Amino acid sequence: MHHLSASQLNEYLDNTLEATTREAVAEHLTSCTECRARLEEIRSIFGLLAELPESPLQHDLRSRILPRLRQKHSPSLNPFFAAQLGAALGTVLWLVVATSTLIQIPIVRLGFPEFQFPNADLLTLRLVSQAYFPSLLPNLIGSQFVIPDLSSILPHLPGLEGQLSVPHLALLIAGTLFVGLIGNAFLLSRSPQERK
Amino acid sequence: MSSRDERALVVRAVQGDHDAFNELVGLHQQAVFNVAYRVLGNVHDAEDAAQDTFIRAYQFMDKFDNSRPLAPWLKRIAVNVCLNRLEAQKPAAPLDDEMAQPLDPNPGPEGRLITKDRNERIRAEMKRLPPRYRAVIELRHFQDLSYEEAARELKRPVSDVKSDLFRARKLLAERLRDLK
Repeated sequence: MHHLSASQLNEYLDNTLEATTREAVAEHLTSCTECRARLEEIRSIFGLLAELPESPLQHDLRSRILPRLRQKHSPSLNPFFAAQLGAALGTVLWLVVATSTLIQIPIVRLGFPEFQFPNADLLTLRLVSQAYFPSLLPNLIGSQFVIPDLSSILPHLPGLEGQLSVPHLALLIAGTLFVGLIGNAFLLSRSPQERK
Repeated sequence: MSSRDERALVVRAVQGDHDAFNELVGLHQQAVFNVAYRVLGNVHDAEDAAQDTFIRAYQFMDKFDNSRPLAPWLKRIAVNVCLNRLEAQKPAAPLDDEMAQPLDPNPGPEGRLITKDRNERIRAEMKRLPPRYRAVIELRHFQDLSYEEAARELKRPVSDVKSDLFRARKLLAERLRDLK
């Protein structure tokens, strides 16, 4: 004789079997003492769990929850968010300064159709390599630094004659590094959970 | 309180009215605490979990279908909050039925803390079940959810939920045999 499976017994008690299956299970149970014993054992759990009384709450949770709600919705700026916002704004600011410095025209002229953006990477590389050249150092502070062959990489725009503001560019690089360093330092100072 | 009044409180809570939400907490804190206590088996943890449940409920209140009663929704959140806490407290209890020996029904002096009376025995054995077994027992036996509803709530296949439920019952039946 095939005995009923645990699944059949449980589903029989949960009343989830289809009508025909349920009838077959019921019929088997009338004649099989072993399956009936197994069924009763599972049924006993239903009774024990149903008997379990509710436990009275020792403390009123309202006094603890309300302050948490107020704290969560207070207008104070989250320091982590503030750092991210500051870094983003700083980056945008530096990009604006960089763009206007590199092409030496008012930023509004960027929309002109004849404008071609310079190869900024190449330009920065040349400036940095020349800035490290010791003989040129006196020219770097408060002056305009002339690069001889800029015509090949700069856009052809009136008023732009290969002159770039080196202090501006140096400031751009230093500023970007500074913002990045501060941002990373702040991230590292947070706990792993806060970083998520 | 009528269901109409409760719905009005929910509407106010969704609009950010803390006092309205506080009233809802007062109405349902006992039920939510009991869910947490059954699943976690510890009063202190259950109170913390109940608080977290209400905070989470407040955050997602605008997703709640206000044409339905609030209590079942809160209780289901409570189960998930408790499950998350238990999962975070791993290592979990052993899943293998053979590894889990029943508690001594007649404990000596060293076992007095575990079992004092019948209800404590049941709670103690519930607590010894793996977290996901406790969750399905709670959803099926105390919240009366179908297999499919419990599976949806736990984001798991129905077959897994049924398997866990049947194994949980088997373990409890074996361990609580002396209480029948």
